[in-house]
Amino acid sequence: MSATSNNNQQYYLRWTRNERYQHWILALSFTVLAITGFALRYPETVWIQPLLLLEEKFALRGWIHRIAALVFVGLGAYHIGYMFFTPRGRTLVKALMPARQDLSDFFQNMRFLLGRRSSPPEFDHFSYMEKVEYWALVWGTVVMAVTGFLLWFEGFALRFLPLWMMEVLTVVHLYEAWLATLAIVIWHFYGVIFNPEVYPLNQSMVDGMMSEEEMRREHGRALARLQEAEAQAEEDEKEATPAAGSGSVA
Amino acid sequence: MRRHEAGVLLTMTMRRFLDEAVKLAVGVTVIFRRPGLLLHAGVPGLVLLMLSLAKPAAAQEEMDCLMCHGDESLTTTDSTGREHSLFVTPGHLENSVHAGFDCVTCHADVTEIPHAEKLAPAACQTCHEDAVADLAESVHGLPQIADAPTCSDCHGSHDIRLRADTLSWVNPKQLAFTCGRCHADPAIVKKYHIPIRDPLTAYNRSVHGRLTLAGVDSAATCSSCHGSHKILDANNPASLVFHFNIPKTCAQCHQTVAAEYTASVHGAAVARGMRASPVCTDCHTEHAIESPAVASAPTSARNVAVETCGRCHASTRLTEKYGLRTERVSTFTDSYHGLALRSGQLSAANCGSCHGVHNILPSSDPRSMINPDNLVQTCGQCHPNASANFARGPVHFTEDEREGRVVAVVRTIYLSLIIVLIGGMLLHNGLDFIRKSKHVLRRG
Repeated sequence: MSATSNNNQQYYLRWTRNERYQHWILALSFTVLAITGFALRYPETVWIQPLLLLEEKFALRGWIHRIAALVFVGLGAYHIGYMFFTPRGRTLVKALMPARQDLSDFFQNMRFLLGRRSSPPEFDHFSYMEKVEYWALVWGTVVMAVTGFLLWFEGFALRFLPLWMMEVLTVVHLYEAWLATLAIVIWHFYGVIFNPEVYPLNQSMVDGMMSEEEMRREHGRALARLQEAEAQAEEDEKEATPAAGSGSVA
Repeated sequence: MRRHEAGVLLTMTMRRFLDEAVKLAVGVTVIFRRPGLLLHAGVPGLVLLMLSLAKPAAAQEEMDCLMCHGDESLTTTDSTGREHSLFVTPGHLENSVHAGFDCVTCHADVTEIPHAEKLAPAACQTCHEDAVADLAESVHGLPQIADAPTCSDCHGSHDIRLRADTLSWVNPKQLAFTCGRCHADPAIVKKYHIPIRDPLTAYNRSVHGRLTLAGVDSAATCSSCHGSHKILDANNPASLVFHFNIPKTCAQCHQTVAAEYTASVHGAAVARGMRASPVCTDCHTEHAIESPAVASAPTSARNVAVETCGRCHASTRLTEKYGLRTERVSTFTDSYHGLALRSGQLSAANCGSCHGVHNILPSSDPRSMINPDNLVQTCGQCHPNASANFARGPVHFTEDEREGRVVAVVRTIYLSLIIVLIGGMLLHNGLDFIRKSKHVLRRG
């Protein structure tokens, strides 16, 4: 993993440009989906009215929702390809896999949060909080895409589903939307915005970089491994062997 | 008043001079006027003429009356102390349907000049016997209503024109305003406890009102639904607006729709005497009847479910009383169709899209739009790819049905999941926040 130096601080590349674009497309389509979706379920909400102005003549809300859904699902398909067919993606998949370590990290962190430990445990490249969020997003995307497309193509869906299942799909689509939105606000926004050690924003989704200090705080174990690799590389260089760029995620 | 007294004095003097001359001229005058009378008034006129001839002394010239009544300041005071003008414009009958009549044709109790201070009302019954009898039987003929309208209150007095004349008080364009003079008067409405406060404003806004004002004489006006002379209380079974007569009243113009309605579940119930079953006005309102295309109409796509069907089908009182299925309306308003309508997408299905409008029938009836055999076609109006599954299984189901219980279980599972997961997140991050705030503060 490459690292740059700035203000006497080491900076590490956390997200590639491609990954940052994926994130922002996801963030945008998710927001649009949430707004246009909740606008249908709660049509009397005041701040949603401008969006519903044209409904009588053109069902704008629904079409924005469907277009955003295509973007969202399209991105999901691209992401699957990225994760399985690029070396970087495969290392990310490995790093995201739940491990026994996560469970012990969780318990240690709980001890810290409850004041029975002076410091939090050192986390790997992805902490258990990030892993939970990633897999929740994968789960949510599958649920929303399946229920959403069946509701969109109701003629197709009703060829093999009984009519009352449409009601079940609607209920699932709605409550999964609530779950996802609340998770983003309470879990994700806390982790990258409202966490007192992060506030006002985790910059890495903007420039892709994370400072040594942040790395130590949030991904201590990964940092240690990176620094070890760096030291090893320096030693190798001294032995006049050209350093080989590591494609691995620490 | 002084001028009026002077006028009377002058009149009395002039009368003495003219009295004898008039008596001599009467015979000549009557014969002279006969052709005109025949021309304008036809047979009743002829009758009147004969009456006039029988009492030659009464057949005064208009000029005789105008000696006093030509004075613009001539007034009288009625029993309530209000002043009324007694002024009569010369030639006032010229535009009237009664042109050519003498004053005494209608004011038949004037046999000499000066006449008695209080005269009987104009003798309309002489010719319009039926109308006067109908009026006496109507709500306007009730003895307890002191200021009930008389013939002249609705038709005018001297300037009575044919109904077809747009200046007639009872012309379709004018009638609502004529009735409105009392029925839109807050004082009168209050005095007689008339439940509908301002039918005039409502009517003028309505599809009927707009059409009559635009000159469409066939559009319904007050008398089309209430009758003209024999207006009866809505509680009176003979009244045109009695609940059970309303479909027939509207059918005067809306035959096709009325026939559909009569065959419908609502029409059939009304025919069996069920007061709670809706007639035309229950859905369309009375005076403010509006096209469903108008957004504010209770029958418009946006309003029909809650405002119109919901008034009965969401009413616990009625669903319990008649064993109707419950939550018909809320299951709709929370469905995709209902939500899309609420967000303004008027093309989404409303009650009428599936159940019909005037032709609503129970699903067991083969003619019903929601009969299982017709459902694919009904759903197919909007869903051209509707398969047989569209028609299978209950719609509008609640937790009383098995399908509803499945939905309820799924909902409960998801809600529990949300509470546990989001609650856990709040707890985790709350603790994290407290712990890290301390760290950050300590670091400064």
